[in-house]
Amino acid sequence: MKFLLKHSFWLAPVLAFVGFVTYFIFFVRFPVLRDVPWVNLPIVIFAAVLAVGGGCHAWKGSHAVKRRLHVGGALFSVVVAGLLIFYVFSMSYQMPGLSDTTEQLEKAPNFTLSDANGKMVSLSDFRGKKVIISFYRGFW
Amino acid sequence: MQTEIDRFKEKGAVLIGISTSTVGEVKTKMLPKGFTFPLLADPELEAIDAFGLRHVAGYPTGGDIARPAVIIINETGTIQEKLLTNNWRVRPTAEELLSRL
Repeated sequence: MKFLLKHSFWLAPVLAFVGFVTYFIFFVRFPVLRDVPWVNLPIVIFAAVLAVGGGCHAWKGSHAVKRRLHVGGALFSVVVAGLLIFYVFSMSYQMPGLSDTTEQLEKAPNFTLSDANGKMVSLSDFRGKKVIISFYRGFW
Repeated sequence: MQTEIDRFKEKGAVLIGISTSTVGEVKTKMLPKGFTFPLLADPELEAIDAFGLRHVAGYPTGGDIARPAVIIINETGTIQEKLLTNNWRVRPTAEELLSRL
């Protein structure tokens, strides 16, 4: 515990950073861990708590440089943790209301668009089959 | 969805992806990820608007994009199901889609 507090000025920021970044580059691929970040949220929250704990511990000491390091580390960790929490609980809800024109559509409007190889594809090509269209945001 | 593609085929369903990416962007960004179902380019938001799925200024840099949505269309061209979300992180899983076919 003492070791953790002593080294929290670099451990906590690293942990917070890793907890933040790995959500976007790795854990979003798994629906269960994406919908509620069961891995990433605990990591960044632990990092923030550790950083604040280490900061308080260093504050009581008389070492000025250590104090500054710990305050800097704590600020960074808390901000990064806050960013992930903000993203998960607020930012990703920034969407238009659900009552849009799709609600009134019954017949699917036809469309003709190009696929990645330049081949034109129409919805009507698939008449007689079930079609699942996924509208995505330009990245998965 | 890609990983379960054979199960969609077994149920006689066709998968299509649509985004505002241009043909070139789909080719360079999405194809290397190994998608085998058609990913259509809709940079003018024609199909996206036809389904009413425009998300104004939804792209991080400010452009309009499609809100994430899955539309299931049946054999006669009628919309069977619209799966919308109020949180862009949360999408229906392949399992949920298969159970609705």
